[in-house]
Amino acid sequence: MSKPDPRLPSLTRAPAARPMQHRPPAHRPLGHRTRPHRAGANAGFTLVEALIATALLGFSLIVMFGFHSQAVRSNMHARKMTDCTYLAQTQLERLIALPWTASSTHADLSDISADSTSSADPWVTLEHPSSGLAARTAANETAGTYGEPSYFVTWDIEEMSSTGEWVRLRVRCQYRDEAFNQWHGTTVSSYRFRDS
Amino acid sequence: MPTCPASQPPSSPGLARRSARAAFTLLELMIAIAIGGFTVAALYSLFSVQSRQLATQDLQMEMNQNLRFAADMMTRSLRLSGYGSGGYVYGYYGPNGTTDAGSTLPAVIPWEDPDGDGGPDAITVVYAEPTLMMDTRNDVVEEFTTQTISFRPTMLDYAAKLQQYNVGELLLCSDYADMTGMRSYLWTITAVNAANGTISVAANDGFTDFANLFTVNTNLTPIMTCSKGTVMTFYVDDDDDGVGAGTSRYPVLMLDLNMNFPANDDIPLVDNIEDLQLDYCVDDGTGTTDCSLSASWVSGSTIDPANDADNVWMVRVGLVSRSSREEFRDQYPGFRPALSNRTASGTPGTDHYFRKVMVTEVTLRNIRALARM
Repeated sequence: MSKPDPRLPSLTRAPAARPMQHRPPAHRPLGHRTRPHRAGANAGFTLVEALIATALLGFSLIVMFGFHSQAVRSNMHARKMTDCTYLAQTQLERLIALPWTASSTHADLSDISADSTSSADPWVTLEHPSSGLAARTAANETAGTYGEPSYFVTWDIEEMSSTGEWVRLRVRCQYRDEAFNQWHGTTVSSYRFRDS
Repeated sequence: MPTCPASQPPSSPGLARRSARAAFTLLELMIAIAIGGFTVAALYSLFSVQSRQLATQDLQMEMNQNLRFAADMMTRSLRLSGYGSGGYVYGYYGPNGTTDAGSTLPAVIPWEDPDGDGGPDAITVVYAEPTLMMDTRNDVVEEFTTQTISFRPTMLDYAAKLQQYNVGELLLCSDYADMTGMRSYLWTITAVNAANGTISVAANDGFTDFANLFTVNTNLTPIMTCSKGTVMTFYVDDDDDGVGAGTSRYPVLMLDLNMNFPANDDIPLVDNIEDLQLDYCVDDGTGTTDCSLSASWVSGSTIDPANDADNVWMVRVGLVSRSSREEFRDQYPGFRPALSNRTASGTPGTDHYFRKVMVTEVTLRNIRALARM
């Protein structure tokens, strides 16, 4: 019969049922420890050990929460980039569809809101309120009920030849990541030649 | 002889706590269970929050994916509209199998609320497949009574292209028979002989219109440009009529390929598309219309396909996508929002679907190019 490890609780009832007086003389002095730094062979963790373990668990949980919020943020970023791409494309399509008259080339193309080439800031801005918020109109602007625009669409029309035969159309859409105060966006561009 | 634990007597009262065999007291156990319980409860609540957010994000991602795919499919087709047809096609399937009074098939046909229930719009787009363009033989004169269109299989890559034509599909050919511009004809393919380079065609319902336009045995021009014809209609099936994939609880964006919709042979394209609204920027004939002005935009009901369709410069596609199931913890926005000339379905809190609206505009390049000529 193999000798049971005295440090482990026995699975059999035999040792516990054994009368005390049959205990042989100790082979080792009383209080001998295989790991003397512990209070006992069966003793629990020290406070420091428990604190370290808790800290490790806490850190790994924080890291995992970071993954999660990062995933949620990436999802939102992807959604807004899709929106932005479509808004920019829509504006580019409008510039492509605009009439090109002989008398005015790019000035006519930029007629949507302002002459984009003559001002100091060449980019014409169009603000898109996010869905659910009231659009910016004169009435609700006075009332202050329109929301902050979610997307900023700007475009620039650049004359590519001195005779105005062709222009470059560039449309940029941007949005602001509120949580990190960062700007993201995309730019689409196309060329347009004078209609014959 | 069995040995006892060397260190301490198990039953020694003074040393019981530190004994190798000592048990927890009830108090210790209860405290441990309480702490453990709190920890597990906290972890579970974290898990529950995360899995709920996962489900929400999953629903929204699927919804966005559906919306993007629907918008991509529609804008891509719209950009091609009118390609290889000169804007109008003679001899075609009429709407729902009938012959259209105008006898022509414009590059774009607006369908304002086609089933008349105040629901989504639909649109038909017509173009010739750009990658399969072929010229007919210059030594064969086709007539309107001809049932065969001939190509020279040894020309260019025609042998390979001919393999791509299948019985039952459409053949769209264009010529300059009329001095006023290009004419286009649409037939149904009944047989293909790739070795000989012949494609047998049959009249469509509108084929009799040719008799009104031309006298019998009038020749087509010696060389026509032909390709596989595409006549696709996008519509939303949200009716409980037992036809098609969609129902009122499960609206589906459908694709029809034979001008007969709704029908069971239509293709379910995108799930959970709740609304499709279309607006059109129509030139007033001066060629100077500014599509960035809202006054230039009209709904499909004001467009006469026979006369105005060639003046449609831009199409605004509005789509509403919703989540595949309701999320009962959230209400965003809780009802189908108004879009174009369709009013909203209710007030906030009517239901628990997520929804997303996308509006994009497409220039019909081929029609616009015709207008510039």
